[in-house]
Amino acid sequence: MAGDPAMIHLSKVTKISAGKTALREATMLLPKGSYASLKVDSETTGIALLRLLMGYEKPDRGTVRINDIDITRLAQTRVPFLRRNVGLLEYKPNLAGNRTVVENLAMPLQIAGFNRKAMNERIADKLEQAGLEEQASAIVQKLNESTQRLLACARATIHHPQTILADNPDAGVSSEHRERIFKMIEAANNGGSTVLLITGDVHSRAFTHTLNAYKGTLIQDQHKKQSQHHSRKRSLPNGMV
Amino acid sequence: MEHRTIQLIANTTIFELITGLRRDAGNHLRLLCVLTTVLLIPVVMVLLAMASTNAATNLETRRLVSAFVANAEMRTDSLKQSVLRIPGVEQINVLPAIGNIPPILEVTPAPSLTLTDIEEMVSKMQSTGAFSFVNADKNLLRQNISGSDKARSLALVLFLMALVTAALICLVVVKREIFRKNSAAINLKRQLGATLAAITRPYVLRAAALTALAVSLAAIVVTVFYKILHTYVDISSYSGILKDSIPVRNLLILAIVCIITACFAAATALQNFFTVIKQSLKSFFGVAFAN
Repeated sequence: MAGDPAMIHLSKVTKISAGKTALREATMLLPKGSYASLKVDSETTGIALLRLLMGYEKPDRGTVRINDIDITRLAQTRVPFLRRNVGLLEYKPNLAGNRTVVENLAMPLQIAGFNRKAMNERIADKLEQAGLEEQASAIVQKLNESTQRLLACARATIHHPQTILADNPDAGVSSEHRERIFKMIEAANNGGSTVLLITGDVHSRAFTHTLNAYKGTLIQDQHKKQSQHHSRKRSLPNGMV
Repeated sequence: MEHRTIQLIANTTIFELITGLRRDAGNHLRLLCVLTTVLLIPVVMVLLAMASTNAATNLETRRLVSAFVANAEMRTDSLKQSVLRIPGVEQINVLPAIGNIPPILEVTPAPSLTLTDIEEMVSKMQSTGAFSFVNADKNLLRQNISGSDKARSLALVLFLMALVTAALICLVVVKREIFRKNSAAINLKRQLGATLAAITRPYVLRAAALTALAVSLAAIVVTVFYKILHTYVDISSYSGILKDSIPVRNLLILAIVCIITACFAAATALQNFFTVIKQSLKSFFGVAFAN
């Protein structure tokens, strides 16, 4: 563990949402560049975890550290800067429906303060990577659900965030789009982003960490697979309960 | 592809203000109509306040003291000069002698004079011995002084009420516009890491522009209505308060008041105006420190 900086570190976090214990004394440690999956037994746990990591809510107990910053003590004015380093892919994609694909892709870049040239380059690359060149000027509302999810994934990864959080990114998408979505996520992971996927399908991908949530408690397995494209990463520590 | 992307990006860089207006043209037109209609109320108040100011001035000028010259052959020029030296005399209008009727000096006292001051002024005029009779109708004077004061107070109250009403209208309408209709877009921007200042700025600019436009439209509507009314109906015969037609000077005042009202309303609509500025500074320095 020594010398392996943590990107996401939950320490004995308890969160009660709508009268239910979403997280109970949950502990999780994901080093930088890890590719983790989380299987949840309840939607509440996944949503609560994402909301905590995005800084929307604070835990009732425990601490949440992202890139060594304790976000539970972070000033409200600093939270937007935290979010700029996170690419969030929600279960129901949150897109600007009345804007075009390009305008949606441009949003995180504009907020992050990219100049026009860099934005053009990033958008052109991402459109190509996502296979959305033809729909570049299409209004998002008119796209089908699968394409919208693909676009949401493209937008979540376009600004090369430090962390990518995805809630069932492959739910309700076509097989072609599923491959593109995972390609984009894995490309971001290869670029150094830490990825946490909330998914039921934990066997099909080369995850470095696998977590299970049971009645609000997180159980972190030893890192299972070390895929070839992750060989540059050092071996990861034993997980913790 | 490259060219098309660049073109699309060029459109999106100021999309919050420009394309937002273009995209939501229907909504903005509706909002403009609503704002114009409801802002007619404060604009009418402003107009009434102006009319009250006019009325106050009119009542002041009616505070005349008529002095009948004792000797019809007396030179009125030198008499006028000597009366003007009496403290409190502001203006003198000389009505020339007609036949056996001697000239009459219509003396307008200074607006600041009270009834006692005017009485004192009258006694000084009488003591000169140049006048056979100095007429100062105490009741009329008292009535005019009181009326003038009331009109001025009414004007002040109306101005303040107009400002508060306009501010409240804009606050309610704009807040509704910002927080209800754009809640999805605001949430999306929050999720992507936009600061409060960055989120609210386009809406605030849009609201300020629409408010200024709505106030101007309301002012034009009211002015035109007033003009038409004044042309076809002799308002002065019904109410002394609206005696004068609107001269150019008053129209300018109306325009200035409207602009001030718009600015005030827009500023008030930003309940967190200073917070936004503070947030912007914090964001800026935050970024600078982060870098």
